[in-house]
Amino acid sequence: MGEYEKLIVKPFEWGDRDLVFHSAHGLEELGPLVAFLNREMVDGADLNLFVHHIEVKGDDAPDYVDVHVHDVSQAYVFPEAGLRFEVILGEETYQADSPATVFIPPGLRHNLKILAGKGIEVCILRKGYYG
Amino acid sequence: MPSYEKYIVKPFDWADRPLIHHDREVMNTLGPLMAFLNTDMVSEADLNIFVHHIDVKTPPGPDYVGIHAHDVSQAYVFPQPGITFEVTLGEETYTVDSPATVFIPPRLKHTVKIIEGSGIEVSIVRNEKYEQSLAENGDG
Repeated sequence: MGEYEKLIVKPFEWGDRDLVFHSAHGLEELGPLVAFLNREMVDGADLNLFVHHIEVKGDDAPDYVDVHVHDVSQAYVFPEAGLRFEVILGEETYQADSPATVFIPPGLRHNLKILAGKGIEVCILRKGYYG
Repeated sequence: MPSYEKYIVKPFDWADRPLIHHDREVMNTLGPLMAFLNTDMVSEADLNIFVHHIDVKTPPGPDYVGIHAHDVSQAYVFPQPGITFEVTLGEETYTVDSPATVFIPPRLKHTVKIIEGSGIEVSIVRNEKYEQSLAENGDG
């Protein structure tokens, strides 16, 4: 094993582990949440990355995350077409279709709900752990 | 315009715009490079995000990026199965199947080459504009 092989990591399903502000049941109802990077996977990592594989099966998509805030910036990236989502930023609510990015500055209250469709969301937090 | 609508942005094809250290013409033969976040799209953004849509028609894929380093960290994320890539970190070269993440600490010299397959690569640089993150001389 070379010095830098530790920087290449395979993702794993978050399963029933806790995720602050989030309902594991609601997340799982949409599809598996997969951890792609955090400081436990790579010592010293200053990014936390999740990929959520999403499929809204019924007409009533679940609420799964409370309005919350981080002390660093965050981005939701929807890389491909096929999802419709609702995002709360401060006191404002928007609906948008993928592909799209939502940038969330430090200290801004926010929330996310997937309304319809199928695809992936990449959640990027600018520190090595989620919180 | 409400105050926060500016934080929701649509990606655009980077097309024939230059990207330092990258051969854009060769890169585009793999598929379109889409800009998802930078400071031109959101002025406060401290993340630079590209999504490269990749389809290697004749394996192995071409070389399109020279070895380089940034003064901030970066991650390559291959979120779905279907791609085999080669990554050079310092003097070490690894061949990896997606899904996978490569974390690149600040100043570590690196490059990436797509060997075969199709899918997407998400590149995240923990900084503002991509060019602003480039280090003069990397480690490794």
